[in-house]
Amino acid sequence: MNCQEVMDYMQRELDGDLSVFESVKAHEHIRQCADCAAMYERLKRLSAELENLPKVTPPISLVDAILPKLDEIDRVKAASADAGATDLPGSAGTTARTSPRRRNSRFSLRILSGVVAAGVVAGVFLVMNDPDRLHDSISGNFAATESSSSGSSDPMLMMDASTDASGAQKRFGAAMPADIAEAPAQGTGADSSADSLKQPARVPSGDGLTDSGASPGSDTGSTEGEDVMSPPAVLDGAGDRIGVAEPDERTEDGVQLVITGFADQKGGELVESVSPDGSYTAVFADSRVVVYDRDGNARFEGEARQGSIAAMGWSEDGTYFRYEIRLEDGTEEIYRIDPAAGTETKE
Amino acid sequence: MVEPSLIRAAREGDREALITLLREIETHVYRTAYYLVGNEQDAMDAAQEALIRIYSKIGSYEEKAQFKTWVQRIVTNICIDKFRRSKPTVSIEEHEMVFEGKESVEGEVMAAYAAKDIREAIDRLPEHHRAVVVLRYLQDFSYNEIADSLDLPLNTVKSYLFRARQQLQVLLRDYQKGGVRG
Repeated sequence: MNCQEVMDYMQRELDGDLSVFESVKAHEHIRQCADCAAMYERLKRLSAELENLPKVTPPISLVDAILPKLDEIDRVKAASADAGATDLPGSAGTTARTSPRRRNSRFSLRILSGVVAAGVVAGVFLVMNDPDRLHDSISGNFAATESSSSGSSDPMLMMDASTDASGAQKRFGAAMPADIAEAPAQGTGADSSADSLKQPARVPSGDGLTDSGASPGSDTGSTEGEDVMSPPAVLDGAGDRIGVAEPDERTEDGVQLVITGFADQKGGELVESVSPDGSYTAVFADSRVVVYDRDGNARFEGEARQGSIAAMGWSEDGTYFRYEIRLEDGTEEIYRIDPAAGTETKE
Repeated sequence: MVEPSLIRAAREGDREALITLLREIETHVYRTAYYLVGNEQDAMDAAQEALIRIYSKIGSYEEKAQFKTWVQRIVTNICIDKFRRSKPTVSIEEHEMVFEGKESVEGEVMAAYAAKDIREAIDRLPEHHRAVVVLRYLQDFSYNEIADSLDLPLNTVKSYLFRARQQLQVLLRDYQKGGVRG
C-alpha cells in the first residue's frame, strides 16, 4: 500500500467510511511510515477542530423578522389567484412589473418602434393592391401607434403598451404580414405588446423574489431569483397570445390598464402600479410615492422615504395603496395612501 | 431532526405548521450561511432569503428527497449565487504569512487562535469545497447527503472534502509554524 492510497484511507477514516479490514491495512502502513503518521495526526487534529467549530445561532429570530414579508407573500398570492381566475383586460389592474430600463430610454425606443411600424406599413402599402384590406390595416396600425406615442406627454398613458423596442420590432416584423393577410382590422405591434403585458399582480420586493425576466414578451433585464409570486397559468396565457389580441383590447381603457413598473436598483428606483379599476396609478420614484389619476394629474404626493421599496400594491377595491419600504438597517415600514382623502399613514 | 408529520402538514397548506417548521430549521439555515458567507450580516440576509424561499416553495418539496438536504440545497445555492465574494481564494503555495506568537501562550488563548485560524482557512477555500466542509462538519451530513444538497456526484464530494482538508491542514500547519502553537 503506497502513501497516496493511505492518504485516501486516512481521509475516509475521519468520516467513518473505512471498514475494519481497510483500517487495519492503513494502520499497518502508518506505523512504519513517519510521514504518513505525521499527516494522520494533523488530519485527525484538523477534523477534531472542525467538529468543534462554534455552533453559531442567529442573533435574533429570523422567522420573526420575516413574518411581515411572509404575510405579504400570502397577500400577493391571493391577489394573483383572483386576477388569474378572471383573466380579462380589466382585471390586470394591480400589476406591477419591474424592469431595469430607464423611462427615457424606453420612451425613445418606443418612438422608434412606432417609426418602424409606420415603415412596415408603408412597405406593405407598396406591395399590396387590395385597397379595402389595406385601409383597414393602416388604420389599425395607426391607431396603435398613436396610442403608444401619445403617452409621452401623459403620465397615465406613459404606462402604455410598449415593451422594449427590440421585442416590439421583432413582433412588428413577424406579425405584420400574417395579420394583414388574415385579420386586417387588428393592429399588430401595439396589440401584441399590450397583450403581453397583461400579467397578474406582481409586487417588486427588491430582494430578488420577483423575477422580471419571467415576463413573457419582454426581454428586459431580470434580477436573479425565483419567481414566487405569479401563477403559472398566466405565464402560459401571455406567452401564447402574442399576435392574437382581441380588438377591444385596443381601446383606450385597454391601454390604460396596461401596467409597467420598473426599478433601477442602482440608480433611482421607479416602480408603478395601477389600481384595479384603473382610476389611479401609483409611481414610486425619487424616494416617494406619487399617485396619479386617470388623466395623469398628480393627486397625491407622499413623503420622501429613506430606503428601498420592497413591495407595493392596491387594495382590491382600489381605494387605498400600500407600500413597504426597507430601510438601510433591514427594518421595514409599511405605509398606506388613501388618494381620495389625500392621506398617507404609517401602519 | 424535523417531524415528518409537521412537514406534511406544512406542504398541505397549514400555515401554522409551516411557520413552526421554519422556526425549527432557522438555526441550521443560519449556521450554514454563516460559515459560507463569513460574516453575521450577510448570513442573516442569506438565511432570511432562504427561509422565505422555503416558505414559498414548500409545495415543490417532494418527499422522496430528505427535507434537510432540500433545505440545505436552498441555503447553499443562495449563499453561492448571491453572496459570492470577490475575495479570491488563496492557493496553498502563496500562503506563507507568519503570525506572531504574541506574548500570551496560555492554552485558552491558543484555542481561541485556533478557532479563528480555522475560520480564516475555511474562508480561503473555493466555494464548493467550503460548502462540502460546512455540510460535513456543521450539519453532520454524510457523503450522500452532501451530494444531494449540492447536486454533486458522490466522488466529487469526496474529492472536494479530501482536498479541502488537505489544504486546511497545510494552512494550519503554517499558522503553527508561525509560532502560535509550535
